[in-house]
Order: sequence, then structure tokens, then C-alpha cells
Amino acid sequence: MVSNGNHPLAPHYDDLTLEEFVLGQLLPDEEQAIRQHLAVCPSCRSTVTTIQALCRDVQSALYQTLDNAQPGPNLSFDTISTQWRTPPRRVTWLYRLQQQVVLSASTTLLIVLFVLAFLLLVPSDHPTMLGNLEIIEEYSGPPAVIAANTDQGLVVVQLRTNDTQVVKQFDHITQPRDMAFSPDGHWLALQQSYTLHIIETVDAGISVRIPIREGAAWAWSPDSQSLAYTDGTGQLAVFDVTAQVNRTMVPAAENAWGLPVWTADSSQLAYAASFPLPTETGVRVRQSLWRVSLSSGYRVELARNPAPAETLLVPTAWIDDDAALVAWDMAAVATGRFPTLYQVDVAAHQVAELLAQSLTQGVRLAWPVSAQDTAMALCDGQLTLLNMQDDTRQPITVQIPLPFTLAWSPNGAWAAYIVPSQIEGGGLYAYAPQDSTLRAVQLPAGATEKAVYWADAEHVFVVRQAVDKPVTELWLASVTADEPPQRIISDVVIPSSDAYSGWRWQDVMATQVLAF
Amino acid sequence: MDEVPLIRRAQGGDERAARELFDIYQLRTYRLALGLLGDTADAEEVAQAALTYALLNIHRYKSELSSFSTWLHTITVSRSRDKRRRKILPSIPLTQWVSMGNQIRDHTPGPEAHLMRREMEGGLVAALDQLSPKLREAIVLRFYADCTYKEMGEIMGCSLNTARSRLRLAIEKLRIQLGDTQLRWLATETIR
Repeated sequence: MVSNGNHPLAPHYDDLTLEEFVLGQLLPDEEQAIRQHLAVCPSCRSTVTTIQALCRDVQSALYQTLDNAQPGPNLSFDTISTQWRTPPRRVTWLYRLQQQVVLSASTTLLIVLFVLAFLLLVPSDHPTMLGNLEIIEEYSGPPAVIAANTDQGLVVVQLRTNDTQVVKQFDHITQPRDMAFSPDGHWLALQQSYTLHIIETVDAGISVRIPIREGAAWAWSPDSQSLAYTDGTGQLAVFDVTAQVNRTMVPAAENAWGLPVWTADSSQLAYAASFPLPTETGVRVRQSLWRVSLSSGYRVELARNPAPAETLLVPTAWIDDDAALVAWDMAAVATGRFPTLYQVDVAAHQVAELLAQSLTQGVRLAWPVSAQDTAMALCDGQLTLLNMQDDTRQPITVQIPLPFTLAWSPNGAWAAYIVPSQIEGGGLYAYAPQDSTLRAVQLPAGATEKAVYWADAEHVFVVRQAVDKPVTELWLASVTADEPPQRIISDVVIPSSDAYSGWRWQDVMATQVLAF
Repeated sequence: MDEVPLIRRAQGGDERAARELFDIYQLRTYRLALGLLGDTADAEEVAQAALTYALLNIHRYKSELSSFSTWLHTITVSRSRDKRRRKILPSIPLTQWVSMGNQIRDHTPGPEAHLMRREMEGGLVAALDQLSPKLREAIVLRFYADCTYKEMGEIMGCSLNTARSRLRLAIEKLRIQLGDTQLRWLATETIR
């Protein structure tokens, strides 16, 4: 760190260090120290912003030019084909051996019959191997697709009954962030570096890359046709996967940020706007919640500057047939408090505090709102089921620790959740609000539970972290019956801690059940 | 798609597998070569040479040492260097590409901002053209091919730390070449 001479009490980092910071070349401790410094130093912040902008634009210029380039007809396999057939061409020793050993017809037939008999009579439970990744072959859950970060890059695995296969492998994607499948499982969105990748998981495999900045967030439309994203500059755009067209819904000057929230019919989006953006410093002069219509592009401000002044509302779910919007206060999270929930009346343009607190993970609620507009929340310090439509509150009477993550079953009958547990395999529970039934779903030792997603009305996918090494496993477990849980994938790679500051489970694995 | 069986089949002499690998990698290889060389004819020649060498020598590829794409990138970089040694490369083509526009993003800047952006992009790409071949390799591998520093080191035939230094040096040189005015505009423009 060097002083600028004018302000001995506010020394600055040199350009070399700030460049290394932007390029992710520093140790986590150094990076953290610079982050703290940037919060109070406009001069260094300005330098970092300039370097970041330069990197982003270099990337953007390369994508623009190279992604449109097509080779001419001279690039072809024909010349290779000619040489391929011309002896002598070196092949593996195994191949040579195979060529040299002449098997008699009867021997070949005998071997084939023996192998067939072995395959048919001896059941195999050997998993498919891909590098260190192990994938079970005798899968028994609903059809699903999984994206996993592996030592061979990102892989997409399709799961069908007794049939699992790696359908895509992207060895150049080694540090995915915030992976999200479209609801039909055909598309996968993820971030690597300052790029949003939108990847087709089936057929020809179209891949689209969009430059983004720090703080970008995205959400798939319920009809799987569009990905809405804020790109970190203040712009909100929608990418139509069928037409392969990107459309700016809100220009950057409007300062849209955070996760856009789709209505159930995929016709409208709710989003937040803030001046300045939350990623920038300075006194916030305005913050508001908006909705925008996809067909007309028409924008309506739903609420502006809700009291108290420091509140920073984030939309999270449409409720009551899209007549109201639920939002939470991000400013509370920054100060270590549980964020308060708010309800926005879309017609009356009024914001009401719900006198209930929730828990968050990044830009999402860790206790999300169910399809029946119910959420788990803290009301007067008591864990409560809160119906957002009619504001009825049902305290949870069974003794459970506060879950750190929760998922509602598709029909809203069960909430599967994970609590901090000292016992390996003892962190997963399921709670049925209707009759206050609580079930502990025991999983084998050797790993601890970290995230849960519903596979169907009775089964959940559970992300578990191995106790003895930094890898992740995906399990299928029943919450209603005493079926033995099934390990589907193991040895999924957790990002190294110095790759960037912090990571979430969406950076490691994503799951999506396929509807038929 | 899992490419491992395909590579094994090609290593065993299967021409169809080799053709499939060619189809998978031809675009990626061509675009990488184009990023490194900046000339479409040279890029096509280098991509053909790299793919030909890689496929006819696929028995040399060892999956336990690197991924196939890293191996192919290494060959492409090496062939690009050979090409550059034999020819003084033009510095114009990258700048021409900017006029091709962007099919994906739908920016709607005003006329002034549009002009400024065109000027800026021209300056940026011209600055990229001014970089030394090794620094340009670092930029293209990091920002276009999304390589990690480890992969960059493997591909460029240097240590991880050297790869880092080259990238940082490339950024430093771009900053100097673009100058304060253009950089300030980059940082403050809000159209994108």
C-alpha cells in the first residue's frame, strides 16, 4: 500500500495490486483487505472500476468479433481423412494388438455369449465413472437433469429409471456460478468470470454468452421460454431462447438490480431499482419496486422509498394470483439481522410491513414462499407458518432448531428443511403443516446435509458435503416412506476458496425434474 | 456429450470418431486462432493444421495429463506462433470486425453515445492489435477461451505465475495505450 502524499491517513493501493485484485490473483486475506479499503476509498474504487470496465470491454469486444466468425470451406476433414487411411499411421499398441490377433469365429462367438450371459445374469451396481465423478446407473427416481462442477469441467447428467448418462461436458467451464435450469430442463444458465452462459442441454447444444458485471442475477420464466437478468450495470433484459433474441426491458440508466421475479403466467416481471446501485457507495436517494410487462414493455412503479429510509426492498414472490408482491429488506441482512418481510399491494401501490422476519441466502429467501402463498417466518421470535394471502399465522409447535434452508413440496403439503446437525446424516427433516407431522429423514454417515430440492411429491434431492474431503454428493431420499436413500452422484467438486470470495451451493450443483 | 469414448475410439483408429471430434472442435479452434492471429485466412490455415496434427497424432494425447481441449489449444497456440514467425501479421482485421455488430445484445444508445462507443471499441481493438503475441495470447485465452491460469500456463508453455504476469502486463499495456480519457469514458458510460 502506498500513500498519495496528500492524505497520510488514507493510503492507497498501487495500480499493480489493484490490477491483481481485479484479475483474481490475490490471496483471500489480501482480497478481503482491499474490499474493505475500497468501501472507504473513492480513489482506489475509481481505479478498480476503470480496470474492471476495461476487462469487461476487452471480453465483450472479443466475443463480438470471434463469436460471429465462421471459417471458410477450406477448413474440412477431407485432407485429414486421406491421411487417416494412408498407412503407416500410428495407432495405440492396443489397437495394433487387436489387429494382429486373429480370433476364430467360434472363439469370438463364445466370448460374446459369455459376456452377454454375464451382463444378463449378474446384476451390476458399478457406477459410471467420469474422472473422479461417480454416477449411479440404477437410478429409481423421477426423470431429472443435473449439472455438476467436476474435475473434468461442468457436466450435465440426465437421469432416467435405470438409465443415467452424461449428455454434455464443458471442460472449459471450471468455475460455474449460480447455475439454474429452465423449468423444462432444456437450458442451463450460469456465470463464469464476467460472462453469463446460456447453454442448451439437448440436441445441437446452442450456447450463448452475454457479458455481465458483478451483482448480476437471473431467473427463468415459468414457461421456460425466457431468461430475465439484471446485468450489474442497471439494465434488465430478457433473452428469448426460442428466437435467440435479447431484449432490453429496462435501460441501464434506470438502475435495475437484483433478481427479477416472474409472474406465474410469464407475462410480467417485478424488479428493484436503486440510485445509486447497491454495489456502489454513496447516499441512496431513491429506491423503488417496479413491474414491467413483457409484451408491451410498459413499466409501472409499485412503491417508492418505503420507510424507514435505510430499507432496501428486494422482490421475492408474486402472491394472490399476482395481485400482490412479497419483498424483503436487504439492508437488514447487511447489519446481521433477520430481514423483515413486506407486502406490496399492486393495485393500490401500498407497502405494508408483515411483522415477520425471514432468512436469506444471497438474493433469495432461504425460507421461500410456497405455491400456496405460505412461508415459514419468525413472528415475535416464534417460528411460524405465515399465509401471505389472508395474513393467518400458525405457530410451529414442535420443537425444531431454525433451518438454514428449506424447500416446499410442489403441492405445498410438506416443507423439507435442513438444520445444523452435529450428527452426520441427521440434518434433514420434513414438516407437514396440516397435521403438524414432523419426520426426521435419516441419511448415512460420512457426509452432512447442505441443500434440499424436491424431486416429486414424496422424494427430495439432497446435496451433502463429504466429511473427510471437499467434495459433494447428491442423494435421493423419500420423506414419506422408509425407502433406503440412494446416492446418485458423488465427488462433485466444491470451488476452491481462493477462486473468488464466497460461493453458494448453486455454484456446485443444480437439479431440475423433467415434466412428462 | 461425453467426449471420452469418442477420443478412445479415435485413438483406436475409428475414422468416424475422428470426424465427430473434428466437427465438435473446428469452430472453437478456428475462433481461437482468429483471436490469436487476427486474420481469417491465417486462422483457417492454422485451425486446419492444428486439427490435422491433433487427430493424426491422437494416440499421443493422454487424458490424465490434460483435457482434450487444453491439448488442442496448446497445439493451436503453437501453430499460431509458427505462422506468425513466418509472416508479419496485419493489424487491421480485428478493427474491421467491430463493424459486424452484436447479434445477441440489443443496446439502444443515443447517437452521441453510439458514436463514442464505436470510437472506443475501435481504440480498444486497435490497442489489442498492438500487444505482443504472448500478451495477446494471455488476453485471448483468459477472456475469450475462459481458461484458468493453470490452463493458460499449460497452453502457453510457461508456469502459472508467468501466465498471471503476462495477463497483468497485457492489461497494464492496454491501460497505457487507451489513455485516461477513453478509460474514464469506459468506466462511466451507462449505455451497456
